[in-house]
Amino acid sequence: MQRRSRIEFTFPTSAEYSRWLPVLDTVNRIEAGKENAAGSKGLAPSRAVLVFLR
Amino acid sequence: MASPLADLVSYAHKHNEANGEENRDGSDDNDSTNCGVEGPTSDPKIVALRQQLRRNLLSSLLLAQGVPLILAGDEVGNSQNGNNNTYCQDNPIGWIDWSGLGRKGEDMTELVAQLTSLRRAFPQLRRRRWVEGRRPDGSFDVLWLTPQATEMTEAGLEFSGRAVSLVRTGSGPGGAVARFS
Repeated sequence: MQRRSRIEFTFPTSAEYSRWLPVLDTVNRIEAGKENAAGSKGLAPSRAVLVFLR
Repeated sequence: MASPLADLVSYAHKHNEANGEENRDGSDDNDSTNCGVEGPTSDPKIVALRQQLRRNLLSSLLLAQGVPLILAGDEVGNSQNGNNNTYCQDNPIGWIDWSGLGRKGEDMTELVAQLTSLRRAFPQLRRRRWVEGRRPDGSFDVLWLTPQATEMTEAGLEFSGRAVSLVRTGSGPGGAVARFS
């Protein structure tokens, strides 16, 4: 199987959610304390499940 | 009968020959992949891919709605050598092999503990009611998003893209976004 490249994505934005905290990454180790602003861009490794909470 | 998780990423087809029915028994709809080689391999790329897919599938299961059911031994890479119908195999084919416990890459008990811990800590990951999606008043309890964070249309749900997001809200404040890429 051919390995796919990383996939850019946008963190969802709404009146309620302004920051997203990573809690699970099935490919890489999570960077402690790192938060992501709603509307910002992220890069998902191929074949990954990522979970963020607010 | 069922296939262990390790077999779902190691065999594209059932291998029930040991059952004595010329491989006719058991489901032919295996919903599995062998990642390039049928059965055991020492190819490090394939081994790594299989382990990655197992981590993803365990995560998808434990992040899904409802009560997660894990087949005993799936967290340590138990295999039935591709046999998906072991009703008559009271031997090592049907017995659970726990030898993967503590073996780097194979032992995923830590990941399962992390996932169950997340479910316990965050109610948005363990809703007790059927999800409605987008409600008439514009609120939602679950949304499917494109990589650009726009709401998916029904056509998009056919999984033409490579990445999707699932956004859930709990009964109180709090949201969760899970990305599958």
